Parts: sequence; structure tokens; C-alpha cells
Amino acid sequence: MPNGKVYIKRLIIRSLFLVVAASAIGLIVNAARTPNVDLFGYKPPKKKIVETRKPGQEATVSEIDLATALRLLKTSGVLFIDARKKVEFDTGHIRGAINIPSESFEEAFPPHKASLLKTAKIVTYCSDVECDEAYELAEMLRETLKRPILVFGGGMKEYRGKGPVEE
Amino acid sequence: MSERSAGCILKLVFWNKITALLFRVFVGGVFVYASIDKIIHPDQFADMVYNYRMLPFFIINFFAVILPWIELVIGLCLILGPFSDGASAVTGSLLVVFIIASAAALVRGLDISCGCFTTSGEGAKAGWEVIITNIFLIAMLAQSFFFKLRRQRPRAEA
Repeated sequence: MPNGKVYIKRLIIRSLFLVVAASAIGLIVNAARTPNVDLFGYKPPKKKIVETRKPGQEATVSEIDLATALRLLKTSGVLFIDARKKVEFDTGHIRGAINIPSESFEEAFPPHKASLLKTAKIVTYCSDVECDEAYELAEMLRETLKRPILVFGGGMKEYRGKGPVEE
Repeated sequence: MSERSAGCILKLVFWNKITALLFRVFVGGVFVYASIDKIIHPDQFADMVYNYRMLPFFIINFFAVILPWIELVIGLCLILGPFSDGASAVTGSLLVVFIIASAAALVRGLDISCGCFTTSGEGAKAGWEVIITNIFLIAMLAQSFFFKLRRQRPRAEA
């Protein structure tokens, strides 16, 4: 079937031509851009630690791992705060955690203010490493309470199956 | 209604020049639309590519720079007509790659934005929704491609 072979050959050539031409346009546009993208120098997003301890300053917001979170869970005077929406909180959260959604901090925070002031350590978390709510909430708590806040970066995704969950 | 007449109606609706043209233009439009935000924000798109955890670091930026332009060029070819067969082949291949990437994210439990139409991270999650959408796009593309091929064959054989 010569026609078929000729057609496939033509199709491959046309496809390659399109890919090469489009790539060339992309590379030229990128080279002309300021600032342009470093083609072979990708750097992954940094871990979302907002601030860490500075010399002579009180610690602000810092991240903890699963092992630390589990250890703190067994320690008295530590309060875990779920920064997700109430619907997500209701589907399962760390045992003993309270819910202060970062998006409705103004309404959700005041009822808990008194108990938070008495708590020795505060740990915020959200769904997983990709979410931002825990960091946003930690920043708001730090500003309001003027004290260090811990963030359990792995969130519920990392926690599930490793520690007690309440629904 | 007999099976035969139902088949005839389906053939009448889906196997004609207008449907083939509409499908091709629709898929082209989807690709052009999908490329715009990625062309504007290649650095953010690179983060989306990184989230899939499929490519080595050194190639992520290169991929994030050229892929949106490939999407734009093949999208325009599908809409306007020239090189539409080559564009269909590239589009189909890309859709298969997107399906594999989404399936891999699903299997590995990655809760990530697919990066299909926006680089803001607020778009659809990589998962079943993306896989099913891409299968529909492949079906539309296949109809348009094979309809054109079928119409060309008698001329080629004559």
C-alpha cells in the first residue's frame, strides 16, 4: 500500500515540522523576554516556611514534621488548629483539634481567643503540603497573639493512618 | 426504531463534513485557549509541570516554554485548516500524554491542579475529570481526522 506509506511519511514530517516550528517560536519569544525563563535551570518552589528564628528575636512561624506533630499531640498544653473549611474539617480532623478556617478568621477566631491565650503551643495544619491555609492562619495568629506558631506542613494527608482522627 | 435506522441516523449526524469541521475547530479552540495563560506565565506553568513529579528538573523550564507554543500553533492549524492532519496527529499525541500524566497523578495520590487552562493553581484537579475530557477531545479529533482521510482516499487511489 504505497499511498498509505507515503501518507504516513508526510504526516510524520508535517507533525515534526509543526513541533519544531512552534518550539522555535517559543524559544525565540522567551529569549526576547525580560526577565526570561532559564531554560535548563528550574528551581522547585521553596518550602513554605514563612519565617524562622532570627538572632535575638522571638520565633515566629516555623514548620514541624509528622514525628514532631505526633509527639506534640501526646503533650498537654498543645492545641492543634485545623485551617480548612468546616466541611473538610467535618470529614475528619486530628483528635482534639479545633476549626478556625483561614478564610473566615475574623468570625471564627474570637470565640477561641481566650483558650488560645492559655495554650502553651499552637500548631496549625490544612490538607497537605500543597495547601496554603495553615500558613495563612499561622501568620494571622502570630500577628494577633504575638507569639510563635507551629505549622504541621504535611497536613491531614500525611497524618491519616498515623494518628487518631475525629469526625 | 430498528438498529439499522439508528445507525444510519448516527452516521448522518456524526459522519459528515460539517460535524468534522466543527469538531476540528472546537478542539483547536480548546488548545488555543489553553495555551494563552501558559504563554503569559511560563514560570508558573513550570511549577505546574513540576507538581506532576514526572520530569527531571533540568528539562522542566524548557518543556514549560515550548509546550504552550506547540498548543497554540496546532490549535491555530486546526482552526484555520493548513497542516490540519499533522496538527491532529500532534494534538492526539499530546492528549494521550496528558491522560498518562493525569492517571499517574491519580495513582500516586497527588492532589494537584492539572494546569490545563490556568497556571493559578485554581483550575481542575489532575484526575478523572481531565482524563474523560481528553478522551472526548480525542474522539472528536479522530472523527475529523478519519473523515478527511476517507474523503482523500478515493482521489489518492484514482
